[in-house]
Amino acid sequence: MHSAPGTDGGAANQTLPCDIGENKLDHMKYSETEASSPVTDHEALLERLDRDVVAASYEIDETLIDWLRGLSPLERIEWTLRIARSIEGTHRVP
Amino acid sequence: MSPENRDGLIMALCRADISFIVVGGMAAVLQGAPIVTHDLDIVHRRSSQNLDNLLELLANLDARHREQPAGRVLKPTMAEISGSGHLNLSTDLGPLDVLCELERGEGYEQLLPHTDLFSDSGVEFRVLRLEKLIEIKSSSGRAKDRLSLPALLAALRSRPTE
Repeated sequence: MHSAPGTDGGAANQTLPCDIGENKLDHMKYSETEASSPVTDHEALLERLDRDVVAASYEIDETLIDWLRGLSPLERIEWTLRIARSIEGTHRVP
Repeated sequence: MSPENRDGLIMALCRADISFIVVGGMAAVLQGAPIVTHDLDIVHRRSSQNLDNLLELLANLDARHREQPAGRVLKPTMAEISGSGHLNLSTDLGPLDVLCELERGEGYEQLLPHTDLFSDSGVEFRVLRLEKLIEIKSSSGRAKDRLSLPALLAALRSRPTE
């Protein structure tokens, strides 16, 4: 939050080494028609994001998202903390 | 459950009658984004009563700044929590980042319209919506923020329509 989007040359500017299906690429195509059409806030937000970042979001395991949605809010916190702790444990000096 | 569970912190904040908004990675997790984080970030209301309640709770939780120069134990102060900065604290219930405002100068009142009320285990608390989180993180220059965007977008896209 210290500089404008894309100025850090970070992950958002990199080409992703993943195979993105044709339909997914079609979904991301941008046209003049879309630009002049009314959009929801959600769509406006997506348009402001780098396309590679949007593409990467298709690689997220949606099964995991569905599973998380089945948990209560506080159970979701417990889930992420368990993983965070297990990751921390691998870096801890005995 | 471990005493380090952040739901313990949320419960403690609610039971102390503190007005706050969960922001950051934990807000995304609460809305089903599959990301890993161990920080609880909150933006609190800076009204007199709320500041008193928050400072009292922080004292009860033995809160201290995580960055401690020369091993000195620094406790949060009223001046700090009523200002505009960020306090990165350790507490008996785990790390807690108390944010008076986000970097863009948005405090509790400005963020409130962008929140949803969550309830669980008998408590209610406000969480910054995914749309606003994405907007904030996408305008950030921090790699950490931008790396979390795909997971946030995926969670937003798969959210059931109402």
